[in-house]
Amino acid sequence: MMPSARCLLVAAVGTTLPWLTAHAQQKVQVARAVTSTASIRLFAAVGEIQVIGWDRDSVDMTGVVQSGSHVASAGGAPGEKAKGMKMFIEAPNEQGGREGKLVLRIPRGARLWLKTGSADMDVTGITGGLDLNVVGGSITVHGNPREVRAETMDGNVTMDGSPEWLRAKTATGDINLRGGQDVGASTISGAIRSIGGEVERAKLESTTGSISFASAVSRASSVELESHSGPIDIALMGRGDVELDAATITGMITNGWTNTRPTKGSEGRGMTLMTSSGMGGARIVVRTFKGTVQVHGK
Amino acid sequence: MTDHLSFDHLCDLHDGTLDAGAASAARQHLALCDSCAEQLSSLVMLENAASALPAAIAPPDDLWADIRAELGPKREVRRGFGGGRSVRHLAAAAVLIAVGSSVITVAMMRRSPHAPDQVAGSVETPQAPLHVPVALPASLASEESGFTRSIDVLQRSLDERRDSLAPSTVEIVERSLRVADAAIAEARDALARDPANRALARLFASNYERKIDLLKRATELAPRT
Repeated sequence: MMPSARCLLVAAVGTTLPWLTAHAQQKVQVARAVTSTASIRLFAAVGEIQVIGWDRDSVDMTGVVQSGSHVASAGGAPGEKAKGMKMFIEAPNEQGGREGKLVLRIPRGARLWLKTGSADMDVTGITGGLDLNVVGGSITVHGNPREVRAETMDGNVTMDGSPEWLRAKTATGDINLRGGQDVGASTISGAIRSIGGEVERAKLESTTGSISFASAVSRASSVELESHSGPIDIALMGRGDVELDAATITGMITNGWTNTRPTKGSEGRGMTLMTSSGMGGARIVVRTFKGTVQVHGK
Repeated sequence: MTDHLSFDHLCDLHDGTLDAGAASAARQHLALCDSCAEQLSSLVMLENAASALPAAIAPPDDLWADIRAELGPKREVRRGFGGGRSVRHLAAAAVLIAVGSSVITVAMMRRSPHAPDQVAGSVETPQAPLHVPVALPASLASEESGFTRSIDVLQRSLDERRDSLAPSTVEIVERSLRVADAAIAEARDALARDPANRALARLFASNYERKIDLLKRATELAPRT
């Protein structure tokens, strides 16, 4: 028996309306005059957030979020530049928190506190402070903010500049760095790569993730690399003033950087390597339980 | 009045994350400063507005009665900025315990005249299976006790919030905790056989610290993320 046209229409509406309802979007437009170093706080349930530092003393947030989202903001008295601003975007349901896109423009020197669930964050042009927290999305920061705290669970953190102060943490996500004055990176199983740039102080640690260090060091640099089972790879300039102190509990060490041979433990397990080049100065300490350590020249 | 409270300071006061002394000083300032009091008031209003939102926006009954019957009743999710106050307190207490324990242990180990400078070679191959706990010397056991107390507190907090987190997030956290636990067990076993090995003790503590940090971050995640 052929279904009637009316039945087909009802069925079509019944199947498409939920999708249309779920994916309907609403525009977001929030603007406010703030000081050039204002503290901006945003909690946003959205799929993607782009943050742009600009040379204006104002905050401008535009974009689209799922229809039914609640958008709220507060900050300072009307008519004067706010020293702080707090914004809040709550999606009507879990799926809505993964949709939509926001573009947030803030003064370059502002401090931004941004927390979200699964958004991919892309930040550029900020010279102030960043405190970025996401669960499932990635964090990418371009430029050289003064300080950055970036935390994800399974997303990656990528810094393509050299912040003065950086603390990056993930559970399973990778962390990619390009140096910095005071750098800390920690993962459980994600890889950590510090490639390029120069570091003054760095502590890179992972439980099972690999660690690759190929950033330049100065004579005053202090670098700690630590893992439980993740392999550690270190690339150093042949003529640098560097002291290297590496030790494993059961892991192998290979040295292709200097002529010093790693020493085996008395029980035949674990190795140490104490070596240096030039006048020493920069100090690199490597500790791993059973990861391999590979040292080589650039 | 020139030294106004910063926006971050006000937010921290509002979120209950300032220590008692700082909170008291901030309240004294607020009693005298209309500008700061007004800013705090706007933050309170923002939170109230957010907390008053419905937990879900349901489709009209006449359109979705059948669908709702199919899906059945859903559990309401607690929301709002202020929902995790007790969790924050527990997390802060746990971190204090962990830090205090670590400081004491490091101080004790630094005073030990027998602590070797180097690590390699002195470690025996672990003889016992990893899942069988081996007794640690008193100082290390004390340190571990501090870590496990912190972990217990944080784990309870996480368990309380488990239903409010996305299943995929819970899975990531639990998988990572298993990785951390395996590393702790392995380092612990080796340390029980070579308790004077400072590098090994540091690796052991680091494994615990990463686990505690992961738990702390997990307890601070926003609902439905």
